[in-house]
Parts: sequence; structure tokens; C-alpha cells
Amino acid sequence: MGGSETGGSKRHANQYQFERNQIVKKAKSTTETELIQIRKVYETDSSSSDELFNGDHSDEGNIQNDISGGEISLESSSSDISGRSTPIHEPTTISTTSEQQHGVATKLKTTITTATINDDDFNVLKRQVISQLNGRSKFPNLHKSSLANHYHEITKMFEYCVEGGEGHSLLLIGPRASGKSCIVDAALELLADGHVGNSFITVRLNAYMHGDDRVALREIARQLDQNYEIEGGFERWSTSETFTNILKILETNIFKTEQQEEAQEELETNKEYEEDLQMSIIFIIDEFEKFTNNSKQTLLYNLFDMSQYSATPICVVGMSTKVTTREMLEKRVKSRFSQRVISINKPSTIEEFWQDFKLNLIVSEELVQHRLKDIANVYKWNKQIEDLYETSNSPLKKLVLENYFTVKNFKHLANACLPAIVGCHDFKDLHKFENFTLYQKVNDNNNIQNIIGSLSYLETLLVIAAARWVAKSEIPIINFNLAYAEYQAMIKSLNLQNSSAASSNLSAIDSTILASIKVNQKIWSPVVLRNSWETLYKCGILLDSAGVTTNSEGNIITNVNKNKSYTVEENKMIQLDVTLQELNSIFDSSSIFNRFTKL
Amino acid sequence: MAKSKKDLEGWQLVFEEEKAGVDSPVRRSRRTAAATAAAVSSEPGISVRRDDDQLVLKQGDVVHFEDADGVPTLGLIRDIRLDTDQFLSIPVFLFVKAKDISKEVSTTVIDNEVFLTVYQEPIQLSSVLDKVKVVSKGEFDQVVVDISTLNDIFVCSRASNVEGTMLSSEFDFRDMLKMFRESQLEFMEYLKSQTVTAARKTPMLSPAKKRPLLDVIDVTGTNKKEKKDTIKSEDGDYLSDDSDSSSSSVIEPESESDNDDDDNDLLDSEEEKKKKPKRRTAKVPAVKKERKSPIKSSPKRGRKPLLPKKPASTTGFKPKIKLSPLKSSFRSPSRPRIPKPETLEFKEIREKLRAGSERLRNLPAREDEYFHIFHWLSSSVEEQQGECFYISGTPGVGKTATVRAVIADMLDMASQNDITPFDYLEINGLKLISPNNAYEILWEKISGKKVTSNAALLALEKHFKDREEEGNHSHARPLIVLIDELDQIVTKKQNILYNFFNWPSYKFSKLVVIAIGNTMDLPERVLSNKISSRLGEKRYQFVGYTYEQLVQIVQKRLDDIKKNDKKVQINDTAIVLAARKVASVSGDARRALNICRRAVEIAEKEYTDNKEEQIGTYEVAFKHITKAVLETVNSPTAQFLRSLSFASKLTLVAMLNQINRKQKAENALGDVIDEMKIAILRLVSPHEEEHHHATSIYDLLYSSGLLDKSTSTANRIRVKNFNYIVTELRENGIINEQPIQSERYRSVNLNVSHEEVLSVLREDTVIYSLVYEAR
Repeated sequence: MGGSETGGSKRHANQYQFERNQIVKKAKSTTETELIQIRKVYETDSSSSDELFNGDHSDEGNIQNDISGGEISLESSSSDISGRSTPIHEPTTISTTSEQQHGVATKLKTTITTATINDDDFNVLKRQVISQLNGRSKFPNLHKSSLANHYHEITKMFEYCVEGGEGHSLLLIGPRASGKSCIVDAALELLADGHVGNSFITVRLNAYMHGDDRVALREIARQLDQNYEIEGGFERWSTSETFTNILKILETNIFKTEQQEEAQEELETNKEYEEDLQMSIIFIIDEFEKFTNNSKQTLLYNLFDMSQYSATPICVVGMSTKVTTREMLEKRVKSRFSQRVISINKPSTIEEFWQDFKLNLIVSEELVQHRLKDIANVYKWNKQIEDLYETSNSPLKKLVLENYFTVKNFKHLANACLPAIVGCHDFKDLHKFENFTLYQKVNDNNNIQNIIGSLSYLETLLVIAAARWVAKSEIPIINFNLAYAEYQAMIKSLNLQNSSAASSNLSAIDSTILASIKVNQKIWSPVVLRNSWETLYKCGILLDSAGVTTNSEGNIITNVNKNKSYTVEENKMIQLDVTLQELNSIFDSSSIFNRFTKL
Repeated sequence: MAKSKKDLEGWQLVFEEEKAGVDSPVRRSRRTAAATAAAVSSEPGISVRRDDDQLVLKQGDVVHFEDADGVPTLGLIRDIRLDTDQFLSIPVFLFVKAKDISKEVSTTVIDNEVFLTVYQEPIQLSSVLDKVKVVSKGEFDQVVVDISTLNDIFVCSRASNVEGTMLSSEFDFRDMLKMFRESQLEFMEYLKSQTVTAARKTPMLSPAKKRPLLDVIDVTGTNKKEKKDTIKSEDGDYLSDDSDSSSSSVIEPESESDNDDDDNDLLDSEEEKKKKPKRRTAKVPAVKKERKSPIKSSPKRGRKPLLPKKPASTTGFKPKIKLSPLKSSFRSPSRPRIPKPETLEFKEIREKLRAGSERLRNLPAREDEYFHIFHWLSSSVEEQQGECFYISGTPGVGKTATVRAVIADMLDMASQNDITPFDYLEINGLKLISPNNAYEILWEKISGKKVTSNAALLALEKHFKDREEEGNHSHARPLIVLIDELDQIVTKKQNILYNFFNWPSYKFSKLVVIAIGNTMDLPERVLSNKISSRLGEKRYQFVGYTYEQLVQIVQKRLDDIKKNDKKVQINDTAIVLAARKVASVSGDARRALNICRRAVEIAEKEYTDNKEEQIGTYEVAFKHITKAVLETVNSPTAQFLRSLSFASKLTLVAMLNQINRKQKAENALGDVIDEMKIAILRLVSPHEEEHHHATSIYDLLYSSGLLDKSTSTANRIRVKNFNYIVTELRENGIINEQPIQSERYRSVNLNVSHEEVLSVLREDTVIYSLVYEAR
């Protein structure tokens, strides 16, 4: 961002930063939330209104509106203007979204094409709920949720910092998707609204992106430069100069106060100058605990030190998932930290959980009233959602229950509800929630059970053989030769059992004849099974034996993937990630494999 | 004041002991430790007698004297003492006469009324005209004022600032004198709070200040407006004042002759506030000259007889840090909201309690250390010797602050030519990107050039070598280098430390190195012998503050705002509690301050939440401190564990069971998976009456057919989203996980104490029934 541009339009700079911050936030997306996040990025980038993954849907809606008459199209466009910026349809949006979502998308397409859109209020509400579920509209019901207290606390702290010029530091600890960033963002937004001038700068760091202190420092300098014009800028060629420069400027910010005072006495008030002086800096540090891994914790030391001593009011907010983060600080860093920790925990009862989650599904009237024809529809919607949960055996309730007992994660739940909401086209549809299972189906893959289910007959047998050998020998590692030997033995004994069962009341000669006639299980050659073995290895049922691939960050995946391109040697000892017992419970008794799983 | 015996001509020194009984001897009560530390070693009970007319002056008397301009002025003698610097020094509290009081402030000024100020001046014995009588209002009414007594009797019932723009509430002068005799400290604080602190907040609005709280709340709107006006007018006042005082000493302090005056007074914003008017009115050349008069000989406690309470002044060191940003925010018209007065008071306290707010000010409870370091540094600077010192101590015990205070005072003295001028450089090991940058910084200080660290090293080496060869340069100033966080610039080869400790040993290097580290034995532990030998025995260990000291520190900061008619106060026992808590753990002053500050925040929140009920003084009490302490001590772990989902708890149970069974801390995740299933099945089978509940849990966790019966495959082998659950536990720091791909073979262990987990699980009966306990 060029200097002139920053000076010229601070608003633009803010916008830019906001978007960038959004992207920074995305960086930490875990695989579960990736889907949603990608969508979010698209929305932010194109600043389109409702180009969710149902992009063609809204487009279609527009067309239909156009056909049905000028009045309606006027209505829809005015609602767009009042609500947000006008949608810009991007044909590429759909094609580039993640493949994982393919199933959902096709399903949607079919439902969309058959539906007729005539319920405008419904669509407005639906859009609102979808954006809430996507986390796009900043959780409008924040003040009603259990996060409200924490939110007020943080807002208060920011106010102290920006208005009172006090330094503060704080740790915000809570599991993923518990709303840490949400409340911080909301608080910052509130603060920005309250202050017309830019009286504070937000600097955001993410330990995943700015993993080491040098990078982080550069980033700080860059962000400061972007928001605050200073002679010579914060950033310098060498990192150490940048560092000393930042420290110097922030610590001697007051230097300018005195100058300014002189200036004031000489030539009255220099308005702009004075505005600069009140600049507070708010540091938001994501994945805070990663910065404690640096042995010296230079960055944290300096940030906390500044928050206590610096002339510039500085507020440091660290966000982390780790409950032990405070104990990970070095002692002199800890001494400078205010010791203040806000921990955000998951709701502890199912009612609380539902009350909090419900806020995502219902709409508060003030948000949509200017876009609705009939405000009663809001209540109708909300009531239906309530009913949906109250009805016994309703899929929504089951979904909530399941989530509550396993992961207690709002994001998961929101993702699961999203296809169902999108699939509805009028109020009647809301009752049919069969769509709720859709996401679960798509989502529920990639565990070992599913992989085994997808194996061929021979591969399955080989897995069982390997598991049998491991169970028998109680040695956790196995190679192909051993597995093959077990396979041979397994099939032989099967054949023997078959024949002996058949030959129990026949003479020896008969039995040999019968045996030759009887369709035995063929024992495939090692060459054939070698292929299967490699398949198993590639699927991840067989793994390199453990313990060797430990790097500091725990980035194991890349290593393993590299190994995977190699073929497995026959006598390479590897691990099997499933036990015989587990295989036994996978195959029910009717299955042919079940008998093999018993020793 | 008399510089030598000669100046005492015409006067006789009378020691109290000799003439006990003549006048009721006024013994000052010993001041508190903090005060004594900074205060001058004075012999109480000296008085002086003028030979001519047997006029006896002693402490507490009010004298009429001519100030340097020849203007007759009144002063309350604060002290008469023999001093190390001057032979005799007599500081007085100045009075402001009625004619100097600004008309806007008070219309009811009696002719003979004088106003006490907190400002002190030293007086010359030779300038003393007469002793006068100052009485309280009540007494004054009984005295008939005629021409003869016009210049002898004055009435005093209010205090003022020197400018006369700000008056205190009325008091009884006799009570003041009593307070003065009992404790000068208290007296000064009281005066200050009356005339200075208040001035900052509600200048010229003293009546408003006394308005009852309720009233203030009711008229918030108008009050706010009033405040705005006040602030504006304050600004205007300053401006107009400046135009009056053509000396313009305020604007360019450096160019002024009263440099040291600035230095002494520039303390923090508050002090600054006070200073401004002072300097303007006190445009008295003679006084300045006198103050400037070099204080010779040892720079001990008595070096600043006038402001003995604040030895740690700062200017010259970093003159720019003086003004706190708070001030600009107060004065700034562009501040969108002016906080309500009560909130302001909370805010003021909070600001006082901020660790960095009182930078470089007097450090309570660090007098010995201060003196020790002062002695080290001043002697090595005087001797022009290179030296190394090492200071150790845990974080937050005032190491750096003490050194800085010493340096600041030394710089003050150097500017008065009391000691050899020197340079000062601060290097913080943690503020360097790489240890080598230390060279760059040092070289930049010495030569003013920026070079790379390698070049700097060579240049430095050459620099010090050259000095050794060329002999003593008289013009080269000694350089004091403070190396903070020493352990952070230890490198493998230790060459940096070696160099820094080696250069002082060069002849004529005049380099004094003070190193600060965390542990006493760091030189032995980390440094090789050749380096630690250079450190010699010049070490000092800072120990953690005791709780008394911590109390003192907190109190000191609050002194200015306490003892006043403030609505917000911190309970003394509450402070003691906080101090005890901290002292028992670390003796970290920062933490004690943080706790108090947080307590104030909590109290403020409480206050604003139920405002209607609050009338009168609001006290930050025991409970608030307790809450703040708990916040810092409580680990969020238990809470977090409590809020975990059933499946996560089940995982933890399984881990605990595994640990109990195998007596191994680390277990394979595969075993945990099996254990979980066993546990949940145990829950299902034996309790028939709970059967329904149990099966539904089992279904929730293990069957995939919950939502969609048709596609049901029988059972899952793992809990739904097991991966996520384990990852979450790891990310939250509850468990450690071996980072390998295999799910079954990776080993996991608990990262928090088993007892903690157990105690939380115990609260959940269903879960706790699954815990297997080895008997």
C-alpha cells in the first residue's frame, strides 16, 4: 500500500486491512472448517452479497424476479443496497470451490431447479441465517449469547486503552470455534465505530504465518506503516534496524508530545498532529502459544514490556487454545504480563448449548425489518426453528445431541445445518429436515472404518491376515512375507474346514475326490498380493513404523506423504493400524470375513 | 542558607539541647522509612539567633524575608539544618499574598490574608527581615489590625498554588501547623493534594469538587459540560500565562540558566503540572542562581535539600519521557468523551498503579541498593576507571529501575558539574535481534556511525586499544553501559560478553559496564572462567520485595491521591493482602501493582453496575483484591475440563484407566480406544434400569445410524469424530500426543496432573462410575 494512498484514504486502508485480516484468519482453518472458510474468502474478495455456494441460486432468483415484474426486482435491488453491496455474479465461484462440497452442490442444484421462488421474505430470512451460519455476519446475536460477558470485558479493556491511554495485556483462551476472534472482532468494530478518527491501530499477528520473531517484527512494521504515516516509516532494510526503530518510535512517542506542545504554543493547535499522538496500538496475536516456543520469547517480552512501560498505549491480546499458555511464558516475560486470562469454555449443559447455537439459526427482527414485507415472518421463522428442536426425534435435535456429546463444536453444527437450510424453499420445507443427514454423510469419511469398507475382497483378506498375525504374535510390526504366510495358512485352514465338514461321513478316497471337486478358495500368488499390500500401504492402513519421524513442529504428514510414493519392500516391517478385534466388529456375523476375524 | 560559616555572620547557631526549655522544643517525629530514605540527615532542633535583636528562628516559624528580587515574601520554615553541602540550609514553604491571588478564584480575600503553598525555597539568613505571626481565621478576628501590626500579623486559612489560580478548601492554620509538626510528609502531601492534584482535575472549580456525589450524578449532563469548559479555560490560561512571562523559560528549558531546576522538577506529568506555574511565578534570578550553585563534595543524600522526597529525577537522561501521554489526552479537545468524575478517579488510580507510570521515580525500599550502585558508579566515573559490575535478581524486583534512577541522578549532578560528565548507554539483551547487534549500538554511541556488527567490533577493539596506547584523553568522557537481560546475549563462543567485560580492563578505556541478569551465579554457570574472573567481586543481589515493602510501593503511588476527599479509595488491608500474596510467591512488584490495578478495575465495574446505590466514598475492598488475586492464580484448566463433551471426558477416563492398569504414564492411543469401548459397554450392560440412557449414549457415540437408520452399518470402531476430539485435547494442552500418523500406535500422555482430571471427572457421576481405580 503506497504512502499516498494511506494518507489519502484511511478508510480504504482500513478496508484493505480488514480483508487481509479476514484472510489471516482463514489461515488457521482446520480441515473441518475449510469448506466454510473458502466460501468466506470468496465472499470477502468479491464483496458479493450472497454468492455462497448457491451462487446460481440467487442469480436465478434475480432472473425470476425480473421476469415476474419490475416491482419485485426493484424490491430486491433496494434490499441489496440497504443491506450490503450489490451482488456481482462471478461464474467462477462455483467451479473453484472445494471438491469436497461437490456432493452438496449437486444436490442443491437439483433442488434449486425444481423449486419456484416466490416467497421473498423467506429468502431474506434464509439468506440472513445462511450468512450467520457461515460466520460472515459477525454473529449479530452476540449480546444474547453466553459470550456477552467476555465481550463486555474486552470492550472495556480496549476502551481503557484507546480512550484512557493505558497499556493492557490479556490472554484469551478457549477451544477452537468457541468465539475468541468473534468477540475480539466485535469489540474492535465497536471501538472503530465510536471513534471517528483513527485513534487506534490494530496489528494482527498469527503465529502460523509469522512463526518466527523476525518475520513477526517485519509484519508489525508493515502493518504500522500501512496505518500510520511516519517519517521514514517503521520498516527498514535490516530486521534489527526495524526492531530498534519500532521500539524507539513507540517508546518515545511522547517525544513528539513535547514537540507538539511547543508547536502548540507557537502556532496554535496542529490538529492532525494531535490526532496522531493519541494513537493507541492494539496487538491481536492468534495462536499465541506458538510464540512461546521461541526460546527467547523476544517478541513477547517486548510487547508486554511496552504494554507496561511504553508511552504509547499498547494493548496486547493473545488468543490461544492451550489452557496452559500462561505457564509457558518465560519468567521475566510472565512478570511483565498482566496475568489476566479470560477463558472461554464450552457450554456445560445441553440447554445452554442449544440456546447459544439457536442464535445462529434465528433472526432478530432489527436486522432484517427493512427488507421484509411482513415482519411477522421473522417470528414465524423463529418459531419454526424452536418447534423443530422441541419436536421429539427431530433430526435437528439429534444433530445437536450428537454434536453435544462428541465434539461440542458450534462450527461443526453450523456446517451440518447449512445444507438443510439452503435446501429449504419455503416455510413448509423447514419441517422436512432430512437434509440434515446430508452433511454428515459427506463429512463422515476418511476414517479407517470407511477405508476398510472400500477395499477389495483380496485386500480385505490380506488386512485380516495381517491382523491375525499381529494378534497371534503380539508383535506390533509386520511385513509382507509374514502377512502372506498367514494368508496362506488362513485360506488353507478354511479349505480344510470346508472339506472336513463335507467329508465327515465319507471315506478317505471320496473325500479326496470331493475335495478336488469342491470349489476351494484359491490361494493367490505372492505377486498378486504384493499389489494389494501396496494398496493397503497407500490407503494408510499400513504405516511406517512409528517414532522416527518427529520434527519439532510435528509436521509429520509431509514426511509420510513423501514416503508413500515409494513402493514397500516385501520384508519391510510396517505397522497395521487396525486390530483383529476391531475388524471383528466391523464385519457383522453374516459377512464372509467375520469367520476369519476369529482366531 | 549559608554556604559557610562566614555567611552566618551576625547569627548564632543554637542547638535545641542547650536551650531546652526556653522555647517548647519542637521535635519532629521521625518520618517514615520512605521519607527518611530520601530525606536529608538533619539534626532536629537547631535554631538560629540574630545577634542584633535576638530574633530566634526555628522550624515552624514564619519569616518575612526578601526574595532575590528584593520583594518581601513570607515563608514557613520547614527545616533548619546543618548540611554537608551547605553549612546551613533553611528551606521554607512560600506563602502567596492576597494581591497575587487571581481575582477569578476568590473574591473574598482579606488584605492580610496569605496562602500557603507547597512550593519550597531556600532562604538566606541575610535576607531575613523579621519574624511574623500567621494566625488562623478565628484568631485573626480577635486581633485588632492597626497600622503597627499590619506587617506583623497575617491570616491564613487556605492554601494555593504559586500562581494563585487555585485555592484549597478552608482549614484551620493551627491544625496545619500541628500536622506540620507531626509529620512534614503528611503536611506536604496534604498541601499538594489540595493545590496540585486537584488543580489538574477541576481547576478553579473547587466548589464543584465538594458537591456531594449524588448531586454530581444527577447533573451529569451539565457537569460534563462544565468540565469541558474547564479544560478549555485551562488551556487558555496556560497560553495567556505564557504570553505574560516573557522569559519563555517554559518553552526552551535547555537554554535556561535554571537547568537543574528543570531537572529536579521534571518528574511525571503531575509534577510537571505543578512545575509549570512554579517556574513562571518564580522568575527570581537570585534564587535560581542559588539553586544553581554547585553542590560540592560527596553527592549523598543531601544533594537536593529542597526536594528531598524525590531524588530520582530524570531529566538529562531522557528528557522526553517526562510527559505522560495521559496528559495530552486530558487536554486534547478531540477526545470524544470526557469520562464522568468518578470514573476519572478510578482511572487515575489505575494509571498510578500501572507499572510504567512512575518511571524512574523514587524507589521505595531500594535505598540500600540505590546507594550501593550509586557508590560504585560514581566512584568509577570519578576515577575515570573502567569497571564491570553485575546485578542479579528475579524479575520485578527493581534492578533496572534502580540503576536508571542512579544514572538519572548522576546525570543531574553531572549537569551541575558535581561529578565528571559521562555518557550513558542502555542495551537490553532481549531488545536485540541478534546478540551481535550490541556492538553496533555501542559503536554508534561512541562514534555516531552506523556500521555492521562485525565492522563495529573491529572498530571498537581498535578504539579501546588506541586509547590505551595514546594515554589519557582528558576530553573523552567516561561511558556507562547498562546491559540488561545479560543471559540473552550469551553466545556459544561467549565472545560478546568477553569483549564487553574485557574492554573496561583496558587502561583509559573509561568504560563502565553494569550487567543485569536473573541469577546470582550466572557468571559461573554460563560464562567461562576468563569472563567471570573479569567480573570480579563487584556483584549485588536484589532480593524479592517483602510484603511490607510491597505495601510501601503501592502506598507511595497512591499517596498523591489518597488522604483527600476522594470518592474512590483503596482499603489499606486490601493492599496488605495483595502484597502478602505476591510476597509469598515472588516478591515481584509488577505483579503486586497489576493485582491492585485489576482490583480497581473490578471495583469500577461493580460501581458502574449498581451506581444508584453508591453514595459517598467508594472503597476498593478486600473482596476485589481477592478476586483479582484469584484471577491471576486460577488456572483455567479445571474449568475447561469441566466443560468438555462427554466423549472427550470418556477419552480422559480411558487414559486414566490405562495409566492405572499399566502403571505407565504413556500409553498407545489404540489401547485408549479399546478402553473407551470397554468402558462404554460397561455402562450399558450392568445397569438395567439405566439401560435406556446408556444405550442412547452408546448410539450417540458409536452408531452411525443415528440420523439415518437405513444406511446403518452396525457399529463404529471409534467414537464419532474421534480424531477431532483427540486433536482438540492436544491443542488445549490437556494431553500430549506423539506426532505420528498411526492412530493406534501413537502414544499419548496426560499433560495436566491426574488428580486435577480426576477431581473434575468426579463431578460427573456417569463418567466417574467408569473410572477404574487400582486398589
